[in-house]
Amino acid sequence: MKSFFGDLGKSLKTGVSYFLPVVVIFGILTAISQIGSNGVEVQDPFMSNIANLANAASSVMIPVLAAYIAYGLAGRPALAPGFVLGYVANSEWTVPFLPAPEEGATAATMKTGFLGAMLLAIAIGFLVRWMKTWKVGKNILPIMPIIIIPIIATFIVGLVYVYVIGYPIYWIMEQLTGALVALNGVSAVALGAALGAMVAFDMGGPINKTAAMFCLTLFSEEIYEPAGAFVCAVAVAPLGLALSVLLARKKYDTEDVSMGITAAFMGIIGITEGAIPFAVKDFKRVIPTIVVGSAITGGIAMATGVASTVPHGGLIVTPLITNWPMYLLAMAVGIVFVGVVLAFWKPNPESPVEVEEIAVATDGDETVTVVSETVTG
Amino acid sequence: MKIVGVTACMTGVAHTYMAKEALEKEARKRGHEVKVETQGSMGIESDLTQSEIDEADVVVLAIAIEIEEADRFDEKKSQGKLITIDPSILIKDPAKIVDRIEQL
Repeated sequence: MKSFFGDLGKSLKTGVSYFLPVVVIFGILTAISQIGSNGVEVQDPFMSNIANLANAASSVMIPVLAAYIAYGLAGRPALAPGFVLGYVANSEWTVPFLPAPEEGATAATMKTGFLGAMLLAIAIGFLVRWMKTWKVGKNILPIMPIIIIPIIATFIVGLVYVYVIGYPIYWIMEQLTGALVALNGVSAVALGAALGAMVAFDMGGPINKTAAMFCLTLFSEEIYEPAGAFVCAVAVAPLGLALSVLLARKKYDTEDVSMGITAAFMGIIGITEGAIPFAVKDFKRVIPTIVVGSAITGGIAMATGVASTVPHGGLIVTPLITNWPMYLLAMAVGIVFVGVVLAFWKPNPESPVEVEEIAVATDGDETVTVVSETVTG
Repeated sequence: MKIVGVTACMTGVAHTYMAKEALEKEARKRGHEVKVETQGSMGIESDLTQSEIDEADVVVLAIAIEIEEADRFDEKKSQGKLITIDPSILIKDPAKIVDRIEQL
């Protein structure tokens, strides 16, 4: 069972790693196409071409995700069914046996998008993995991965989706989105704060990515505020740590200072991972501080209607953000919180506790070279 | 001893390269020969050839995602000379991982 969840986690990450660049194309091009428009409809012909490019990216991103989740579980034979059924989950599909829900509509339709595609991909992955263990004759073996596995996997999982599980998934999603759309006032702030805390907690790890995936899912419902809170909070940890180095220089050694510079750069381009070296050195102080700081930022951003059509954060996306003055303000509040709290909380180098800290810190110079290479790489 | 490895993280921009650096530093410090392939968002870099893998004493896969050309390591795996871990573990505590490598 442990290996089941391990495999599942690994395959989801594999999916996301191929999915992310497509999302970036979609998000950035969408944002560019909005420049100079009224925010409702893109009218300029040149800009609408850019919007169409973004739409193209948006229609392939779910199939790419599904394909590579399936690939992560079962390797190459699972790729093709993943693409096909990812496309199926992401398109309007007529629900069998159900009457049209309202007058004028010809049939009831379902579209399960992101969530449906993920479930289909997992089903494909495990089915293909099992099919790969089949003992087949020498004549059949070469055509297994290119004919038999893709066709059977697509056929079985596809029909089960259409006839059995598709509509229940769709129904649950309808309820969930209904609840999220209804979020306002205090509960919206709580959502923003929760997203902020998740961003900072593991600095680019699975919890952070879960928050990101949640925001991306809402893109398809045209809800952009949670993404606003998310991309705003992304920069808080690295920039806040950089600020604390600046404020309390005496409490940090020379390695920390160059780490701070790297963190500042990472924060500007929206990579929360820039905070990791600090957190590794001083887990018990750094993590709580950046979690609280990022949660404050997320809450403020959500409360003030900061919205983002871009899935990536940091200072560089500021021009693409709806209500960008509050974006900057919300971010600044979190950064100042992290910077000031850590500047006071960090022990002085003279205190006996710090002897231990310094011993750890000398190892830290490895981390510094690593991080600066990451930036150039 | 000869160590080869592959690192790959989800976004392929940070942990992949930090894990490579951590393993190389720790292994070289103890006088081991080491080569690490990265499978980041740029694709495969500093790739390991089959003969390099065959000559190695231990293979370390510090991977959070499914990697490309994983079948290159099948033989080492069946010999029990392969360690698979999460890249973040390697970044946090390379010494412990290299200890484990030396015990294989």
